Amino acid sequence: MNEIVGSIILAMGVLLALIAALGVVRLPDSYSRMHASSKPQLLGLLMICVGLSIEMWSWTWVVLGIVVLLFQVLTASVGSHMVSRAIARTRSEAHDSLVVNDLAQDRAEKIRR
Amino acid sequence: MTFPDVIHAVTAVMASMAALLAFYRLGVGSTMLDRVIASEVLTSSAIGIIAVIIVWWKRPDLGVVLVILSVTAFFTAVVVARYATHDRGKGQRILSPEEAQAEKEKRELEAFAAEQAELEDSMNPTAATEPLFEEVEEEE
Repeated sequence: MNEIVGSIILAMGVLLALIAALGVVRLPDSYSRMHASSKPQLLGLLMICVGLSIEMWSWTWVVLGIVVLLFQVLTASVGSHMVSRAIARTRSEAHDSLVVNDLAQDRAEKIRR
Repeated sequence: MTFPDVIHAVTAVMASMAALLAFYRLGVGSTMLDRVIASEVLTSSAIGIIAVIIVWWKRPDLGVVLVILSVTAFFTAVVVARYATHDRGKGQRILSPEEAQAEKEKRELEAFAAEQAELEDSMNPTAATEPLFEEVEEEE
């Protein structure tokens, strides 16, 4: 029984990776692609770890999943922060589709002073 | 083939398709940062494939790979994002041989002219009242 439940949860986690890949291919600019690609980084990994723990049915995998999630929480935020800051600073085409760009306003005020 | 095996096969196919789509964006991606985002999706699908291998082929020793991937996945993003901040995009490309030759000749001419000017300055030191280096306005 736990194999069935675990495999279904695992499949849901990997489905998030597939959805993220579709979003990265289909969405128009870098910010929305980042939005799509960040879903499997935490939620998908959480579901994969829960599915693994249920399917293997031992405490070893619960501990390993918690360790994996802990490291991912620590590192993924750093990585996506750096990427989005680099997008904001390189003046790419992503800025044309923004409705409000507060960073651009800040920069303009800084230059005016 | 039992029911969990079918689900595992579907999961493996989904992860492979995600990796293929990420490879498409990795090749097409208009900027460097799009490619970084695609490689993050590639890492996610790699984690999915490894999880399927662990449960399908009964390889619990591969659990370490999950830890390693979750620790090192952000290196790509950080390294590329550090160096992408000065990316001017369309302006930079590799020169063709003719253009490279023209650029080289131009630089040699400039070096020669600078050498001549220096020689003339050393000939009559009283004339060297002008500052040698004008302040060049920095390009944004």
